[in-house]
Amino acid sequence: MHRRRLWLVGACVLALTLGLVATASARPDHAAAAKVKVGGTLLFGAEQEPPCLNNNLNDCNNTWGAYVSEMVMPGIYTILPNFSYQLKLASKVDLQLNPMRVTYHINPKAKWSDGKPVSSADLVFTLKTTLDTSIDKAPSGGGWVSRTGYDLINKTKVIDPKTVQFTFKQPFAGWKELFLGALGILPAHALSGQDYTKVFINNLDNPKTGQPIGSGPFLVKNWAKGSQLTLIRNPNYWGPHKAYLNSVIFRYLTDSNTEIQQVKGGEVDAIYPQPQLPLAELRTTAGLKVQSSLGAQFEHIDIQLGPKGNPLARNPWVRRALMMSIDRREVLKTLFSKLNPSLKPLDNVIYLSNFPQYQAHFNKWDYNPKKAASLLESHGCKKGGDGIYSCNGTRLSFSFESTKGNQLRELAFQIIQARAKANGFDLTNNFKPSNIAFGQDLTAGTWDLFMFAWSGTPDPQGSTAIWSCPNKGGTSNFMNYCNTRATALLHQGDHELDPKKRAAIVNAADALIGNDVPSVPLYQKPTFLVYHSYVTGMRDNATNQGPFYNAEDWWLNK
Amino acid sequence: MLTFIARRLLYSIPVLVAASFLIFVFVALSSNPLADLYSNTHLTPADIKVIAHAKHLDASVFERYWLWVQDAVLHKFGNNLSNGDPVWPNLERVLWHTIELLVIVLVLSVLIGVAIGILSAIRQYSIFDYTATTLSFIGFAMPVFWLALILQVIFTNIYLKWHLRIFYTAQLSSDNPKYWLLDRIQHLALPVIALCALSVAGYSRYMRASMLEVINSDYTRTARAKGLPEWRVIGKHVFRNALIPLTTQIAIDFGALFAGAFVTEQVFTLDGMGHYFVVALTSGDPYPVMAWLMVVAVMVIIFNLIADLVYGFLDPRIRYD
Amino acid sequence: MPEPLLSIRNLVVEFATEDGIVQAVDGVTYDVFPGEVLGIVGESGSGKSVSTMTLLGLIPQPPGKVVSGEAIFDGRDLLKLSKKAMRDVRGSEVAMVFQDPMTSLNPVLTIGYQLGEAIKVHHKDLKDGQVKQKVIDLLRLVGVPNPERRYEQYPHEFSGGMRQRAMIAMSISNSPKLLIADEPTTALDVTIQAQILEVLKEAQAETNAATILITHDLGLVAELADRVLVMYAGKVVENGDVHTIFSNPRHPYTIGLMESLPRVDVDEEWLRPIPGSPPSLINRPPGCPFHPRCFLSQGRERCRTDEPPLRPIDESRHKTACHFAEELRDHVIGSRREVAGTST
Repeated sequence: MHRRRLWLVGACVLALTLGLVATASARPDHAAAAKVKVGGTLLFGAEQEPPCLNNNLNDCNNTWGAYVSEMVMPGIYTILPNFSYQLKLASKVDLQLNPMRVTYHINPKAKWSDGKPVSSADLVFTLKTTLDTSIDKAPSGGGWVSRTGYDLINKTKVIDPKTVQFTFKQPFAGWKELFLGALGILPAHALSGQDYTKVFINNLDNPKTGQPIGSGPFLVKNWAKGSQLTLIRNPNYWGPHKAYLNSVIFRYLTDSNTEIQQVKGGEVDAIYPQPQLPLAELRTTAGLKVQSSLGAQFEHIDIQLGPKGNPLARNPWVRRALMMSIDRREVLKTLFSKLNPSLKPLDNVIYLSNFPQYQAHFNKWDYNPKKAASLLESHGCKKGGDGIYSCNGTRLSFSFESTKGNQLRELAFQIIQARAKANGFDLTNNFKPSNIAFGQDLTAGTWDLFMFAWSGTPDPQGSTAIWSCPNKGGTSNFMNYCNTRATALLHQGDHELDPKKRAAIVNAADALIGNDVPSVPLYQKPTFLVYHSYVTGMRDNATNQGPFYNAEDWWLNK
Repeated sequence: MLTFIARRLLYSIPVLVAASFLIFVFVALSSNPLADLYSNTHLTPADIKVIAHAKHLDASVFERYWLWVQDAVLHKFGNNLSNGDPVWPNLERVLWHTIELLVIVLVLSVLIGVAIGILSAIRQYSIFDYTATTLSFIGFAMPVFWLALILQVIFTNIYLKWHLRIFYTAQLSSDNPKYWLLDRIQHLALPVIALCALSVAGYSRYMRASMLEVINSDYTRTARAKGLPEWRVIGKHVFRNALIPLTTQIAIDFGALFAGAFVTEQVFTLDGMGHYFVVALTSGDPYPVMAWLMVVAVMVIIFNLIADLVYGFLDPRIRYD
Repeated sequence: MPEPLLSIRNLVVEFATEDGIVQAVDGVTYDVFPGEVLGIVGESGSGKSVSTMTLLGLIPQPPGKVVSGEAIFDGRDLLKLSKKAMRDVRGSEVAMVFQDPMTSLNPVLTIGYQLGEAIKVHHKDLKDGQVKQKVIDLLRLVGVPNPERRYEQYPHEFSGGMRQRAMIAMSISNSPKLLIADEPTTALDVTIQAQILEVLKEAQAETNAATILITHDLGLVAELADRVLVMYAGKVVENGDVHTIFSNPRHPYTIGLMESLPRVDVDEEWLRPIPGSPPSLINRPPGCPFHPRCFLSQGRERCRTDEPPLRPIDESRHKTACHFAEELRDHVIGSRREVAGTST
């Protein structure tokens, strides 16, 4: 009797002591890093549901779709938050000149989730698919997003299954942007022989086996449309460690107010919203953390110069007058005074404000109603009884499209619309849900003005596809803008490997674009990553990888 | 009764056929699915012609209608013209979500509204009656989306203050919940409350008015003169008669509920018919729009049939053979 | 003289309306004896229906109000009964037949059910089968053909006359001591009226109930009533047995009623209504309520200042409320030539 009781007491004391010790060590300590807990599910609130996951196709090209494939198929490099390039799928990359050759040494450990190694064949296959123009003619998909750089490769040499060398017919400055994440390297063994416009639509599965496929820390398990997309840990991930989390779930919350309530109330663990006014209160909410940075994203108003747009827009003086009728500082003051008070208007569409090469070119069309008025009137425009100018009998009336449900954009529009109206421009609201605006309208050119954000890369090479003439490499030029001189400069810049010379050439192109004003740059968008304090390892990344570039390092401290 | 139902269903078929033709003509002819192809710089006009022919867009209206009907009946409404996704799986999914929401709202709002209406009528001009009247008018006047937002904020703050998860503020269910039914109730509660506020206001007023009319009728007087206790007079004689006009109102309301649910579905991010329709309509793709309209037409017919059957059950003067 | 079954003394019932207090029943006193038929005649608004509905507590208490008076029925004052006690009286000891059988029957319940309900609420111990049989027997008694089939039918499947028969059957189902028939034939056409009259007679014979027959139809009263009560403006103005009232009326209003009946044996071009219209029941001026329309008054002071009490004349059982009733002794009905009085 006695003995048993003593033993029981002793066991209790031991358990208590162990328990205390355990909790003591689990408590996050400033000096030493807390021990990683493996397991759990992270719920990430996403404000857009992509129409499809194959973001190499224009109709599927969507930031939130890219975030998903970023976690499933990384690329040669990962771009870190400080814009430097870190080797990922490759263990070594060699650059040689005359002619320009890039040799990729694929990491010997890198393999796909089904066990097949990531090999030269995958890079070769990706190149072939990128250059396949029949994709543009397919009935769905909208065509390939960007071929810039890939179309300069004229020779492929497979040295061994893990080493491949590409030769460029001209020096291409932006070569580091090739074969990056988010479907930048395609699995050859899974996709060969398949119609590319039909794969990766509602899943990231191997079409031949029906199983999820990927080379990254996560795989897409299931997409409940309208509700959520579930990623699970890739059990065959080759990286330094497998993902800590069991799964990451994107919960689609299309209303921005709802997003904020959800993260506040703990129904989702993190959100990565467009800047919104109510976010200011989240900075001071207990239990939440906010990271904010300026990245390669900028909000702008594109002007449609194509046949489906307002014909008046084809006159540069109309565009310049429009930009001078918009008070960008007023927009920033109203929208960002609490969120990010130091934000300034952006005056360069290629090198953004926190890049060393930044030069202001658009500021000559900064807000100036008097100049705008005299410019319009000098071309024979007359103000009508309703205060709107008419030029040669046509009213200066433009439809203004953007994404519905985005409060900040809707507020920005009201400010812009009011100011424009006072200066003689009639802008009408044409906001649409994002998957329609982006999946359908933007590529079709059926709009006059379109306000949205480009999420670009630190390398100016990505801008070439946006600002070049549509038939000269401007695959992301939805404005139908064509300045041959600027296009030539952009292409030249893409081949200039000397950084200083390159900056000068690209800035010269931007100066021309700044003169033509095919688009009105507004501001560089700050990013906001809001998450609960028990979420550990998340880092904001202002490139288009978003904070998802290191998803394998996330874990929940609870 | 069974022959009545059978006959009504038979009559519905020509109605549906006529509806389908009208739907097709108005939707398919007013949208141009090839619109975005014209601005695709990689396509030549010849390419576009080929694509158009493959989708039968160069055929006559009747031919296209017949092809669509075949698609609709044999292949469950066919595929989207734009990305080739089949229409029915998505439409079916959102249909069930919306039906779930609306049926719950309908049942709850009828039960609560009728109860309030009866009490208000029996205790006319009492404090309860005045309170119920005031709340009804507030319920009418309040915009549903505003109430929805307020509810979200309230319940988020409840969680923050007391760490008590009562109701969720968005979507239909959590990921992998422990008790599926409880989780569903917790998710649907706020949208149901937001929609019920409006419906309960209406039904309680109609029921009250209807009850008052019947309470002061001659046959109620007869029932009392027979010596029946008041609860029997109200319960057996007044109640059933008072329900009859309300049935019309509920039948009409169901259509209005469908529309009101659009906004609620948006705020609470419920994956329902409203959101589906808005997306389909603005995308300009006729197939999902036509499928949606046909589904709604069928629902209207079914619901009217149910309403008529309920009439017949309640009022023997309207009996069908 | 036997004891009265029902004694109403000085009954006053008011209604509160927006325009003022309406004195619907203003000091009404009468008796009903067991087994007799008492006819109450008067115009609309004379208070005849209200005074009887008050007995059963069917007047909604706001806006109505029983100000004073008593109604002794079988030893109890009906006006002071508890709600439960009143419910026991209704439909069993005192039953009522209403005017319009179409609206007085619940359209969504079967006739059989409604009649059965009337029986079951007062005889809870009876089995359903027994109740059904009793209902069928009652329907047969009142002359509804094929009562087994009719039992399952709804009111809208009955004709007007048959509905009233069913109402009568319902009212006598518990063998009441007092039956109140409020304008039972007014809503029916003339040929049916005669049939219903027969039914009422049959019902009365079967149950031996005292019957109050409220009507404005003098012919009905002549056929059925033993005694007659004439009401005007909420008061009883004359009271006596039917032969006396018809042959020797002693109140100018009663005479006016008799004379306004069209006659087949005299060739007349014009009807002879009572001139003027009934008074407002709100804030009634003093004096006799009828004097503004009275041919006998001829503007006499007394009619305008003193309200005439209900007093016996000739014999104790014939009462009238007129100051100058003696002058009517030799009045021959139909002899008035002039139209007297001024309208107010």
